[in-house]
Amino acid sequence: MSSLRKEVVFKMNAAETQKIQSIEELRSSLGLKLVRPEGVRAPDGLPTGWSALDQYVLWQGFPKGALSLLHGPSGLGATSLWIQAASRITQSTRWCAWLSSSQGQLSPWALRKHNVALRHLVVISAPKNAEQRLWALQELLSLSLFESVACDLGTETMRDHHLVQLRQLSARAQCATVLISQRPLPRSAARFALVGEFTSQGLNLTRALHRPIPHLLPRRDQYADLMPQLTQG
Amino acid sequence: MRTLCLNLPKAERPAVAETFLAFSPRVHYRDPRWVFVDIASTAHLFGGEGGLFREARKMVCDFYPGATAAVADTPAAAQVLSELKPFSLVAPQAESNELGDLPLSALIHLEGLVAWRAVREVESMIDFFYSLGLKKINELQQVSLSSLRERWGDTGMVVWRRLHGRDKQIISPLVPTEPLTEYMHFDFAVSLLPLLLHSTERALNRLFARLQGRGEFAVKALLHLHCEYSNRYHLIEIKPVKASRQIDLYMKLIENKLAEIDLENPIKEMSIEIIPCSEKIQQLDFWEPRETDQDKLQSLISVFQQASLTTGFLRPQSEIMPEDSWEISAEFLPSQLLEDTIDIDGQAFQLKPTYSQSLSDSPRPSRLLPEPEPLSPARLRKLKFITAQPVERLEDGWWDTSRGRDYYFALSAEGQALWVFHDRIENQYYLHGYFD
Repeated sequence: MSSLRKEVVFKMNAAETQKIQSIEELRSSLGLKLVRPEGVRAPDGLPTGWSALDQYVLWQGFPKGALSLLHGPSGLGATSLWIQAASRITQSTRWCAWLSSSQGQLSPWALRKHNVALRHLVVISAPKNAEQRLWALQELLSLSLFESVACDLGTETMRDHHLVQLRQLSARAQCATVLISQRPLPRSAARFALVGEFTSQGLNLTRALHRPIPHLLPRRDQYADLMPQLTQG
Repeated sequence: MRTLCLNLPKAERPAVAETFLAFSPRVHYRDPRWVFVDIASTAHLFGGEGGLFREARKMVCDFYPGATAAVADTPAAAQVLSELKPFSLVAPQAESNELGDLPLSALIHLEGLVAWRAVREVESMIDFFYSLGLKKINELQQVSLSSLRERWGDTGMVVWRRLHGRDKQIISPLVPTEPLTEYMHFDFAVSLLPLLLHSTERALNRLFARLQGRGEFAVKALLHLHCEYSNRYHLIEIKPVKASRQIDLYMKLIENKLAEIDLENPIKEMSIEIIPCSEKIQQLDFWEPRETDQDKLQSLISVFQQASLTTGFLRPQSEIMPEDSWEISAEFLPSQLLEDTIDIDGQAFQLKPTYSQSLSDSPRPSRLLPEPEPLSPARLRKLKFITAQPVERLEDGWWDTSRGRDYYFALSAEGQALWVFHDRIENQYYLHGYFD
């Protein structure tokens, strides 16, 4: 909450500034113009269901109207994290979209395990090239239908000006756009509101608004998909 | 009877009448440029004659700039007024007064559904009455039927009847039979995409207005583009997932297709053909949005499918091999129930087991590779298998291309959770997915 207070902005003209001599006078003269702490509202986000992450970031999940990047090798939990968020969205009859890459496809059986309502998840096959991927993302975002759109970049990257376009469209559609990449952190990380790197230790947040970074979130439930089956077997 | 007469600026094909079926089923086209609509029984649907007239006027001006219209009791009077007092709406029973102020030369236009047999006879009639000093139609209305019949025979009788509103002209319901096509010839061949799109949109607007009048949806649109040189010809087929009258969707699909065409050889002629089907009638609540999420999705799926991107909803299939166990369908279909079935025929019964039933609860990776990836011995040595025994054995029918797979969970040196299988025939390990 302390960081939120730093956000409080007030306006005063030069003549008023000269008159004010003490903090008490400042409070009494500008009290009405200040926003009270309880009046400050966190920006909208989509909860991921991973409480450690949701409680740490400002948006309490993936930021709406902004870009998020989850990067790292496959098999460390990036897709599952988005699936968990998609599960909450689709169960409340809102829409999600997944844009596949040529290096992997979502499995409906795994989605069913996470209670994703397949009726509200639209899946698009892998685009032919980077231009088609950008075009598909633009079409998805301009529809203003989806709460969250995830794009599996595989081992490819997106150009900086493409990210700028996507960020604008996401803001207009108030959509949480999540890019999942197997590449190391790109140079254009500044375009993302949230950047997380999946490592064997857990999720390392390297960019998160108004939060100390880097911040490591150990992921103990990383293999939750496997272990129950092992215990049954 | 109340008649709306639409006076188009130039000669049009009979198909133009279908555009105005939206206002009444009783529409009549008269060559070369007249459309008569009987609005007596449908005006209340538009909030009265005024409302209907406003909408008709807007439509006719959009599609045929320079067109005029008028409403009167009879088709003949409506035609005269559309010609000499454009956009006038005459109150019921006030037609004679309105015609009375017009000059005698207006008799030429007093035709309605049936044109004058010989215009020369009417012209001679006008000249004759001018020579007698008559100048306006209300002076002619004083002349008796017998006098007109005696001098001009049948034509005189028809003039008298039309002047007194006693010429019965019944507009029958129009049955649409004209093909849904539009043809365009460009005097200067078009090599710019925006110009081509502009012309296409105008033609498509007219076709979709006809579709609306006919109460039909477009299943697909065919564009025939003839180039200026070398007899080159392009055929573009636009077929959305669902039949509709969404012109925005069709224009988007057409734009995407036209963008792929090389316009260095410019387009000289173009024709658009619509394949129709009967419309799906929906009863909507007053507060229900006219464009639903499903409509938006259908548009999106159509656009993506045209760009060869398979789009839709994941649907698990009753198959044993993981790569065959799902499909993407454009419409959401509930999953099949994976249950054993028993067919009973008299005293006999047959058990049909669903072999993939137990697989619906089996662990499956969230990310499946499109093709299993062979693991080299060096990479395999770095993997740590979680179990010594396979967690699952998948084997298809021996009559198929069954290989027999033993699946394991494994961890890589980087901590990645992998789904690996061992092909027992090849004795080769493959990576098949990630628990990502």
